[in-house]
Amino acid sequence: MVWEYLQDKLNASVVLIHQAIEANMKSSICSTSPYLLLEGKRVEWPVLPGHNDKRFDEFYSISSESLVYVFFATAKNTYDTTIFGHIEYIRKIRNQIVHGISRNRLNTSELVAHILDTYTLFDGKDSWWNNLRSYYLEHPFNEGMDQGELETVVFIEKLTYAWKKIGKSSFSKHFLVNTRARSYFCPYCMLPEDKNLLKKYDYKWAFLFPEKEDARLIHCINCNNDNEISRIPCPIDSCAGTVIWAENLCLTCGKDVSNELAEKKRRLNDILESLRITDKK
Amino acid sequence: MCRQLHEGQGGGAVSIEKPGWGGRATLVVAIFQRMNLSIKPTLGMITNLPSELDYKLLANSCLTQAFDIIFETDKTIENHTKKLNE
Repeated sequence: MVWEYLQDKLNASVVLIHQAIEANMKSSICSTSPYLLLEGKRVEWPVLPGHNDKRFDEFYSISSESLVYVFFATAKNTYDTTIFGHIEYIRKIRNQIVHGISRNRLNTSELVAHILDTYTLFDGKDSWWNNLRSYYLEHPFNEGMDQGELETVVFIEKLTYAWKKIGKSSFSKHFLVNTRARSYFCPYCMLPEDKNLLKKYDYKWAFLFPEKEDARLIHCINCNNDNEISRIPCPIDSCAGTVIWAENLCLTCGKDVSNELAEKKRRLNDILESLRITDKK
Repeated sequence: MCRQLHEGQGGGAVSIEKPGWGGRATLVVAIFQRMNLSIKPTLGMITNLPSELDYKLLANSCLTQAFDIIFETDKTIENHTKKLNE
């Protein structure tokens, strides 16, 4: 019932996705020439002596059908057939909404997937997340918030939302790091300067980088930071983690293990010392 | 007597048509060139051409808005459902 009432909101988002697809195609065409976006006879262009100037937006622009042809004809990137299928699918559902009475029942998971696909198909992996981050970091409404606060409160909510909506496998298509791999806490996100945010963060969005057993770096999607780590077993019995940051934070269980590690080190030294004494004897 | 020419038609952008003024015309042209004065070309133009970046910014803004609509709608429903269950 609620969903039926809110369908118009979802319809509006389809119209925006379609507009974004057209703008992306126009952006690509502009890298060849913006004149290709003009419809109508060339003899009507006011470019000869005695003609008055005319603004670009006063002309009829290219139709949606022709736009696809010009886009593929001038495209500098190599695209596969997936992008064409995506453009056509969104065009059809948008036309049903705009030109008729749509009987489609849209759902949010499907729409989130279409939005992320649009980013990735046109601009490659990571483009969704990088654009979302820049948008909020540059937004005047967020001027009072520091970057850590945005990452901890705004970004993480949207990142987790998208992941839940489209699922682990689809989500992974949109990132350069393998988000299907084991995830860890990020020390930067877990230990923000503003201690009030400390308890709010309970998300694992950091991944070993490069994806090898001897990886010594961890990359966090949320804050875009890389941190050096050590591959030593977590001293806490119930934790099987082997990724420790700065000898004090286990990035698997999220606990401060500095005391346990120091104790372990002391015991090891004691054993080594006793071995040395035995050797002397 | 004096008419503007399109840039490229002799380079100076000004020509003096009165016979015998050739020398002064050259001088005027040289002054214009030296002062780097912009002279409106007589050819018509298509102005305010969009750029690759203009459209890319528009595309990203539309997608951000589309995502936010869905995100907020879902949140509204979640809160509504929570209230009903309470």
